[in-house]
Amino acid sequence: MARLELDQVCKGFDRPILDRLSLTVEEGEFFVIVGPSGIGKTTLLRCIAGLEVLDAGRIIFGNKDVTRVPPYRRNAAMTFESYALYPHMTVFENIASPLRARKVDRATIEKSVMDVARLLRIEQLLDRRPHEVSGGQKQRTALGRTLVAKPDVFLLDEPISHLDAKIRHELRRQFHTLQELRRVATVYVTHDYAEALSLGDRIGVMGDGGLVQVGSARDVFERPSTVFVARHLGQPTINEIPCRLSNAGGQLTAQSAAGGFSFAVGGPQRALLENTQGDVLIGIRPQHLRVVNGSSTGQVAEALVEAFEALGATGVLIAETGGVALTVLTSPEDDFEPGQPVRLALDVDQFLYFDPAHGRNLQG
Amino acid sequence: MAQVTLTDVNKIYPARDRVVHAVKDLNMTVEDGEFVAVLGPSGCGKTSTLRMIVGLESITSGTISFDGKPVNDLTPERRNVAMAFETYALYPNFTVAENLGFPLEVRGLAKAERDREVMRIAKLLRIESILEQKPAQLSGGQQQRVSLGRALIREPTVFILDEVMSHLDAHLKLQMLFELKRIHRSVGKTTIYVTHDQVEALALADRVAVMSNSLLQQYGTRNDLYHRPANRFVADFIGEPPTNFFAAEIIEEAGSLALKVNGSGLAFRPDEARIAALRHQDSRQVTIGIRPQNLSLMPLMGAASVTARLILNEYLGEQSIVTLEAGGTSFRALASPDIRLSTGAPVSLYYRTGDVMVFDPKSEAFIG
Repeated sequence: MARLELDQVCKGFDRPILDRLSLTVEEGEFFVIVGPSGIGKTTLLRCIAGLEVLDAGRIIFGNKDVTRVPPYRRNAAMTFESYALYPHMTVFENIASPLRARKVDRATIEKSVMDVARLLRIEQLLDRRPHEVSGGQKQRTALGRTLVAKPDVFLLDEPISHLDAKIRHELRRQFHTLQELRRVATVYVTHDYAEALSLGDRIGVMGDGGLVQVGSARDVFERPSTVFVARHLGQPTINEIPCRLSNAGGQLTAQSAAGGFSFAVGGPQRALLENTQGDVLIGIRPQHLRVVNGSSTGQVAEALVEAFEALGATGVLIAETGGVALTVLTSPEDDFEPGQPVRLALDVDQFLYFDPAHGRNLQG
Repeated sequence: MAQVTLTDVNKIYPARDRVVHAVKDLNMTVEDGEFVAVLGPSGCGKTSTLRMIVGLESITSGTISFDGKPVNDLTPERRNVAMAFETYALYPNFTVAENLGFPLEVRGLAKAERDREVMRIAKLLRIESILEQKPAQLSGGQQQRVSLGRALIREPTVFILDEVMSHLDAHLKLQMLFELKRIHRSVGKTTIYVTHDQVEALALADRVAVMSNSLLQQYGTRNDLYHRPANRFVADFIGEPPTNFFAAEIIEEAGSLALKVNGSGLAFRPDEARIAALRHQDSRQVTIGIRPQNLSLMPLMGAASVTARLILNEYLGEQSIVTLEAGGTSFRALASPDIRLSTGAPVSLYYRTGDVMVFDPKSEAFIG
């Protein structure tokens, strides 16, 4: 059992992927890395596992520097996106394989495999081979093989992204409750922001070169450090509207570049932005716009429906106001026709303000 | 344009030691100009169905007609069905314009006419600016659009889309959903969309055909599938997070009926309309289903409620999923992300009695 420490880690191929990345994952912590595909998430995991040699920097397990330790001596267990099960072995033999490699005695193997299989609810599959079980069961077998190894560090690479929704929900719940995972340092990689928010004790959002923001689920979703983070987390994507701030008679107003959309800056941001004149990039999450009938106490915008889609548990409305197309989250039971006028309530206190040049969140 | 009718269609694949009955007695009609999705898990028979409509697969028995004329014996070309695939299947050494124009060139259309058509389709799909690029230079979403354009340019009678969005990421997928709907609105062609993704199917289609185990389970609108699922399979397959199911017993309570969940203190009340149907049940045992979005942590006007203990609160940004437990039964509800509850807290869940679905535990058919 150990904490995991990355110190100024550098790794590149034809371009730099990890640029002086430092991170500490505490013992018992479930750390999730989320980011777009191709950004280097898997490379980072492979560096921790020892499957890639660092260009510079150090990796420390507990108080042992493992930077130059080969992968098989690092005591890190990794599951791969593709499961990588041995096709000729049964589920039992697959799960037992790390223990057999360590020459653990037969009775202990038997007991460890059974414990893990019961935990993952695959006891009845132990005699089958990988091609005879479903995708979700293969994934649980791969996970079982990782758990049984009792490593210092768990490395999980997109372990549930290819499974159907129902199994994903069930496995997510298992990740929350597995005590085995809560005793070591776990690094979990995904491209799915909902999975990241659900599972991570802390979440690292990865962009070019490394982690753009590290924090709790509420930190990264509600207080994104940059517009990149805001854009990557959330579905539908956050609305980004270039605006100009002006202060007239003590009233701080934001107006869209084309001029047709404007609103009074909300209370929480007013003090902070008081002295910010000029251009800002405003981020409005689709759930902070609401279709209202009749009068509303707060600020509203009159808009025209462009399109509407009823998705699973939500509806997505695109409505145009003053030359700005806004994505609005609604109920799937709603129905809107193109051209129909709607009134949008603006939850201005929740709006985000970014520096248009660098995308930095102006609220810190 | 065409109406597509499948009458008693069967597909049987002979295999070495057994026969595989991939599609059983399928009857359905796609109206002229309608957008229909064929939805089901892998192996349900949806791809065999599609291949029979296109003409890539023979029909073991039954009839497929376009506008009332059987097409069983027509080759795919003579059926004039255009298809776009999951893999875009673009020619890598052709530009986008050449890829789009290729089906017309094969037909021997003059260059001027071809160029005009390519421009028309490119405008429709909003890809005018990339006409001179090669596929390798394009993003996944752009390649998918070119592939759709190449299918559309042939002016097909029926337009078929096979899992065209399954490997686009979530952001792109949402964009493409809007695009596809807009394109369908403007060309108005009979479209059959095959997918395993219920969100895509429900968002796009006028009607959805849900298949499982080689059989058509239900053919209906989004509203039908959500509120009147034909059976437990449909109720389970449609909706995310997945529907909660409970084994329950019908009990009489103060002159009214209640559905008491086996082994727990939970009891749900069905709405008036269902009580009559339930009174006629022979067995007292039923399966009840209620969707997570229909269990609210906020009091609702005229709603009934149950109480359970919170075991997991998953914050997902726009919403939270809470997992609850009562007497050994666990289930989920959707909640506002602002709700902050800790594990073990007692929670009241409000529901409208009309949202309680009841199924026969043996046949799994919808009772009411």
